Amino acid sequence: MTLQQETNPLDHQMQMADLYMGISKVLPLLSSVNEVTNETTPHDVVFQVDKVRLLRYKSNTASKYKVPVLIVYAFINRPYILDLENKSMIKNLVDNGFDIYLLDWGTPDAEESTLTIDDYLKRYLDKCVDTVRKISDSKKITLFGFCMGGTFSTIYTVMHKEKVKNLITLAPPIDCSKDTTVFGAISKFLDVDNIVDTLGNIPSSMQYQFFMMLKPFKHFVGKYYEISQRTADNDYMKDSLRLEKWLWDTAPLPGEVFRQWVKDLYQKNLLVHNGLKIGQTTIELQKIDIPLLNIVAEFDHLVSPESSLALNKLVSSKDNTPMSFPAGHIGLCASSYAQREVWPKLIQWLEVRSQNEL
Amino acid sequence: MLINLVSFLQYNAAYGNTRQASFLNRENRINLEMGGQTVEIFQLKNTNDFKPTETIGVDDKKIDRNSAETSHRQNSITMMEPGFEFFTRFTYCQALLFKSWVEASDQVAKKLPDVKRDSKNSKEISTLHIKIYEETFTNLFKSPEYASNLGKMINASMSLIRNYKVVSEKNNVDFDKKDPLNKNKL
Repeated sequence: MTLQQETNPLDHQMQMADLYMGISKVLPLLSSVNEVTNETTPHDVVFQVDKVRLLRYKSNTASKYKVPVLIVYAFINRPYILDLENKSMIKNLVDNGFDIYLLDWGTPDAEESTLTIDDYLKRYLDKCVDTVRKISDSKKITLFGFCMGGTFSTIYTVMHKEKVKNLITLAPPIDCSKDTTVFGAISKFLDVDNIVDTLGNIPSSMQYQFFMMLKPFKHFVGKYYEISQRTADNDYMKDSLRLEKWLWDTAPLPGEVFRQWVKDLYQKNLLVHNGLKIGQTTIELQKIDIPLLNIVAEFDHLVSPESSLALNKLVSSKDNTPMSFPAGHIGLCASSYAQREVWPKLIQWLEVRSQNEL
Repeated sequence: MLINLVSFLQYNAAYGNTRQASFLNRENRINLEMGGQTVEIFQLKNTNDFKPTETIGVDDKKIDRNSAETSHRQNSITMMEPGFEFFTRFTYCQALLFKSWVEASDQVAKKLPDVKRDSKNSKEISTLHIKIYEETFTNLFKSPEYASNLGKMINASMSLIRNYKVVSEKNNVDFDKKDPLNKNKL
């Protein structure tokens, strides 16, 4: 029997009223986000320069592999998404015998508003890479970049190939002409100079406004509706709160980095045309000839998979692996699906390339 | 902050042509830097029945009244331009959002007959609602029409913020205060 025979025009509206009422009841529960903890895997801060920290994760056993892994996170949101309780990618890597380091960019303020991508790579990333090499007594490392951090890792590899043995990227924006996301569409019309000259750093509140447009109904109606249906499920609620805490915890984006990021990558697409200049270096992606693993999400709403997958075509690596998963941007690194499908393949790829540093 | 700025600019625009310039009995003076000139806005003392246009004047002792007025008006208009642009774009974006809402509602209504109706399928209806609204709004946000208007709205808001900073810094007025111009006292 279908609704056609027995419905009246108000039914839909009533259903929707129920839906939104359900959501309104769940929102107060979200105020307890501060009670959940993130960053679960024990670690030491082994290096700090200005606000940037280099974390090394502790392991009960000695590392099985010679080549250490440095994870480079994005500027947007916080890196603890990679270390959520019960869904920690970092813990998984550590438990599998890898020597894991993480670069945390910290919280930029006015001091950092004038720092360019070049500054961040030279002053911070390069120093962290050298520290990792020194501590782990390894000439080369595996560089593992997430999202924006994936693009930074790629650029860094062009500049310092001698220090990088393997490059792993997870959803990196590369060919922005192929980006079909909401941010990709809006970025074409942004007067970035006007924004950065006025605001300096890009405040969190402005970033949230962009995030809210990415998947407005799935994230702000569907998600809370789902939570409203499962409030009695403690584990689910804790997982949801952890993710919620992360979603609403982002630092300001350094102004000059944002200017360069939007103008050079999104508006001019310079990375693809060998036109991106970082300091004195022109970034030519074909100079990358080391093993590359590029992981993308088919349903990524933040970085189009087509934009990321361009990397595999632009480098000259013979050992060149694109991996595509039917997941979303966050689903690649913090989900039961990732635990089951993504990490085992990542570990499999990494272990055969981490035995020696040559 | 933005609303403060806009009301302040409107305040300037409204009072820029005030002709009640008496040199006497002034209090609550504020010096405004406008186009390289200093314009003094003040309140006449002992005015119980407060009417802004009658009680706020331009100090014609310091500068020629006509040039003060012209300068003040031009500056007010120049400063309001991004405000007009902002509200134009904002209204346009709101209209597009509203149009999309109506379109999505219409689509949901058309597809509802395909959904079986019983007490167990409220999730199915919610899913349909979310899917259609998501698709409609994501398409809207990706459309050049919306993206271009939003981009221009953001750009205009940046100009407004810059004007706000210029006015507040030059005149030492704290717009984040509830009553930056001491209007309540007036």
